[in-house]
Amino acid sequence: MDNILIETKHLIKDYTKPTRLRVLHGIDIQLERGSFSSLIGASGSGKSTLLHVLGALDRPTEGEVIFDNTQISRLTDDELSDFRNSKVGFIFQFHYLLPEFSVLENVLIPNMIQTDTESPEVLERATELLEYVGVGHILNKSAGNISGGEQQRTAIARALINQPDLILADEPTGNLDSVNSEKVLDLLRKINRELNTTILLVTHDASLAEKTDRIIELKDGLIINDTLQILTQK
Amino acid sequence: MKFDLKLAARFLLAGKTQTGLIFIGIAIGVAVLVFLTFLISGLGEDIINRTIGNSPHITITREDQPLQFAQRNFNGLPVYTEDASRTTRETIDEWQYIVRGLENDNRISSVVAVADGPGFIIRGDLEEAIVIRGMDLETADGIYDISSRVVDGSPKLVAGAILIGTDLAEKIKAGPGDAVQIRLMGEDPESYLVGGIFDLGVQTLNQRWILMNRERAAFLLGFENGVNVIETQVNEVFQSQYIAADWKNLLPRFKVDSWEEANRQLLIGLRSQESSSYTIQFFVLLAVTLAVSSVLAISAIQRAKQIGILKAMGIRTRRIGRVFLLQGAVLGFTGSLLGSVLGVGLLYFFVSVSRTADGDPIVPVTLTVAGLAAIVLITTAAGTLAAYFPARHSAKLDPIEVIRNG
Ligand SMILES: Nc1ncnc2c1ncn2[C@@H]1O[C@H](COP(=O)(O)OP(=O)(O)OP(=O)(O)O)[C@@H](O)[C@H]1O
Ligand SMILES: [Mg+2]
Repeated sequence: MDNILIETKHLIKDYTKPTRLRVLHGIDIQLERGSFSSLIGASGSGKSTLLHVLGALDRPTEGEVIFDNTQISRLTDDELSDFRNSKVGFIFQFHYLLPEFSVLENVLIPNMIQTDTESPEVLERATELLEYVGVGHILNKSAGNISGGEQQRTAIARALINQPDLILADEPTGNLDSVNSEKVLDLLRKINRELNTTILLVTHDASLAEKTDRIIELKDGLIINDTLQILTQK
Repeated sequence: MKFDLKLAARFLLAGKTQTGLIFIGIAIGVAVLVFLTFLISGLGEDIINRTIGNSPHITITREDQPLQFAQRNFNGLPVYTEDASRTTRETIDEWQYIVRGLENDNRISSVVAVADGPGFIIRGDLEEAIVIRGMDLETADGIYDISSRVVDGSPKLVAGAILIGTDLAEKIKAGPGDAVQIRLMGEDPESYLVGGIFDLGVQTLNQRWILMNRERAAFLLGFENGVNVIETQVNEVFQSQYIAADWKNLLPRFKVDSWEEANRQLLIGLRSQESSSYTIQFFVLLAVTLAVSSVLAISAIQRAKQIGILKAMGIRTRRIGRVFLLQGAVLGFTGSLLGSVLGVGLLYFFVSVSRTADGDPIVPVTLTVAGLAAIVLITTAAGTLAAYFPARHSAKLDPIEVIRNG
């Protein structure tokens, strides 16, 4: 089963506040290495919750999350932090750059968290990544002063800096117009192809989901559809 | 740590107005702290210096004899009066041994053996009550610094020559080279030559003291070759009562007095002045702490998004706390540095405008680097402490909360 990067076993997630609410009712899912999948479903169906548990931002109530043969739900808080830092890249709808830092510095932050230094190699990689996502020309601008599309591209570069195995993107195009949404999706596809990074993308946009390899549909905390796509490549 | 510091600095710099105001607030508080602390300690040191700078810290005498009374005739009635000629303190015959012992005590800096007794000085028809002080000039300089305070004539105590104070010289109208007579109660006067005039800066001494060669004074006072007082100065003035107690144990038949015992009231006054200084320091620090704490609490809320995203990117909980502690420390440190500069400037200004007619500062303030460093250190610690609750609040923040709510 070496081809599976991450899998869940009967994953259950309850929220206890304000009242006890079961959001995930037993999810079994496997993501193959190098796959590009999308997660769709109605609002409130539990997509973000699943993404957070997969990315070790949150702990499951029951069940297991196994990443690369490691049971991550057994890790300590610090180990989870380190896991997120080195193995996972998050991309959110609200881009969440740190406005106190420049575009380039924002990309370097996950690496600074890990190494506490700015090695020339990492600096070069960050610059390359920013070129790669198409914002190489605004490296030194403050992250607070760039457009939404540019912010999301920067956030994508940031998610890639530590060369994670998995990218979890929660409606990354939710705040972008359709042109920019297309561009971001194409970029994710390029990353998936060229860097062989496994990607799980949450989206409301059916036309975007159509462009991924696999569409997983959630309803009330259960997987109701899981389709592999046969893609017509250009 | 490098990244933590960078985060702390960026968070501080991003809230310019907020940081600027709190920075100035700390600086003003610390400036007041520096100003008052050094002023008050300067005052205290000055008072102590005036009190004991040129006087003995520990004095050794034989236990006082009971007063002697004599029956006299007063208008035909018999009355008892004090017989001053017989109440002088007994001499310390073994003084040389004691002096040697005191000199070997490394807590003691100067030892002076004195033949000391009351008498009168006569010049023409002027007569004044005096205190005869016989001592060796070289050793006496250790306490009284007489040689450099002779303002007229020469600072030498050859036999037959005496030094008198400025006020006495004026009263009896005598100067260097003039002959005077000295007599003890109920005895015949002897002639002496005024060799010089001293100014010890204390009126009672300038009025009463007659300095002469120790052997001569001993002979005059009938001590043979003895002295009746041993005076010392110690290195640590606030150790004097303990050192005195040690020597009292060694010399049970003697009276060993420290300046601290003799100046209880003064010391109580100084101590309450000192504690008022501590009170001021405490409240300034408290104000600084509360101000830093409230500013960082606001900053922690304002930075909730950044903290959430940093956590999502894998920064450990403790490091987020540290970023806020560092902000407190940086505020405390930089603010107190500026405050120290302002406070020192204020002191210089104060010292330069408040001068006596001679141009000496009214309050001699001694700035110490150690004192300033202590203030900076304590303020930095207070700033760090102030950041504790904001730090804990931030460290506990759940990143999902932030991510979910945009
Ligand atoms: N921290 C929480 N405490 C309590 N309930 C929560 C919490 N987070 C989410 N929920 C609830 O869990 C359910 C699933 O939420 P989730 O955010 O996973 O849905 P979603 O599929 O991502 O929806 P959307 O498409 O609107 O983003 C919702 O009913 C939501 O109200
Ligand atoms: Mg969601």
